Amino acid sequence: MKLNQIRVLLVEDDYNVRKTLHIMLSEMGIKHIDEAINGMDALPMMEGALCKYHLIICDWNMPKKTGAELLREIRMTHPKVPFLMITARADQQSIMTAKDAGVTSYIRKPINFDHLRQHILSIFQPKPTSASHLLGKL
Amino acid sequence: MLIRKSQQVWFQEGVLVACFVCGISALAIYFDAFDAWYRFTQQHENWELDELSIILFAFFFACSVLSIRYNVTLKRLSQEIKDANDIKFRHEKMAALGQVASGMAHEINNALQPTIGLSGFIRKHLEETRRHKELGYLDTMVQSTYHAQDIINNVLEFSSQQALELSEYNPTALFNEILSFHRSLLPSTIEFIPENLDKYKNLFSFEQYIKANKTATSQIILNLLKNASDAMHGKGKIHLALNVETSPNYRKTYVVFSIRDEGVGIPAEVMEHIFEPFFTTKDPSEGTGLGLPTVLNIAQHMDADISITSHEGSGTTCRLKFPLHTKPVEIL
Repeated sequence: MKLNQIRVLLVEDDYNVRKTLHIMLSEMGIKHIDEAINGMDALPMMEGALCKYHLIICDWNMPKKTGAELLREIRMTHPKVPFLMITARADQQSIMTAKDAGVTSYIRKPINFDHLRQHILSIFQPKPTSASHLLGKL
Repeated sequence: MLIRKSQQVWFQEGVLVACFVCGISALAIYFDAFDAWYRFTQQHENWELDELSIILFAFFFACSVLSIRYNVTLKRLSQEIKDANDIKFRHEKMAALGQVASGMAHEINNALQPTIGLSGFIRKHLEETRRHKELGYLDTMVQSTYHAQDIINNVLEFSSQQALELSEYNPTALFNEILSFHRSLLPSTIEFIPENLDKYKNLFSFEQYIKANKTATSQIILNLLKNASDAMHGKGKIHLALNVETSPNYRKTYVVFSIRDEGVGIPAEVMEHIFEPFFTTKDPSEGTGLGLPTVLNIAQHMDADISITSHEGSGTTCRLKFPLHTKPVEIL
């Protein structure tokens, strides 16, 4: 699947990070980007008979509803949608929690454009070594 | 002082009681009370009033000794309570400060994302159009942003509210392991002088342990060792000792690991501020001033305490104090 065909849902409460991610995704060639400023708004956007989005990029630490909570709720109705987590922390405990919740991959802040692009490409163009090996790399 | 504090308090109390007794006696003499009592005892010799006088005297003497003892204990207890409150207040202040710092650091970290994340695109364009002067400006801008991030990461680490995973350790074994691990990180011109750290003459029995996080304790000790080494400009002896202390009234036992250097010491005016965040006497390029506050924060998360004493010209002693626990012995 080409990048310009995929639809991305971006869930992030901070304006600066959201804007940065939006620009980076556009630079990659992704044309359809929807934004939600918190988990509560994101959930209704996911609902519907067909999953509208091919990828969800979500901040892990948000007020009201955390990335983990949102993920668990989404996984109940959409078990397979790729979920890319953005986090400031990379300690073992957080990573294990994320893996258990069903995260596809994660990237650390400060967000690096090349890393982000690699992650997204590996999700949509899986090679024999799948995206899960990137979980260990970061 | 030539005499110990507790003896001083007894002395003070004794003087007070003596003054009181002299005062009462003076008053009694003035009103001829002793004469009246003498006449009374002569009139009623068969009442054995002489013996009664001695008994009464002994009784009042015992009362005054007991009251002195009571006062001394009271003063010592209130001092201990005050010390405990001071520590508690310091802990609370640090926790509050930590929360504020953590929130702010998180938000600023986010605000730096556009600069760090999007500068790459501008850089690419400037490279392609060979605008080397502007490229230099951009690099300066981005580098300072990374520097800001470093400061923030330091603050986040210092103010971390995360609970640490604690395990049970034999103090001698733990500190020996940490010290041998850090030995290679310090210059060879620094000499370790251990005391009570002998693994074969372990101060602690099998049932005694401290609850600590090895990585965190290691971090604290490295920080303190580095400070000791710096105080002696990389050359000299660091005295490392392990001791057991008991708090008299609360019946709590502590393990105290102390690091003493023979360096220049810390002047009294600086001592007040050493645990203050961002306070440093070093060059800005050498340190952020977050070393000791971070170390104290980590220690508090392990229910441990750090105290530092120093005398200008004769070195500094850092004491890391852990509560000592004992496993109940199974009776077979």
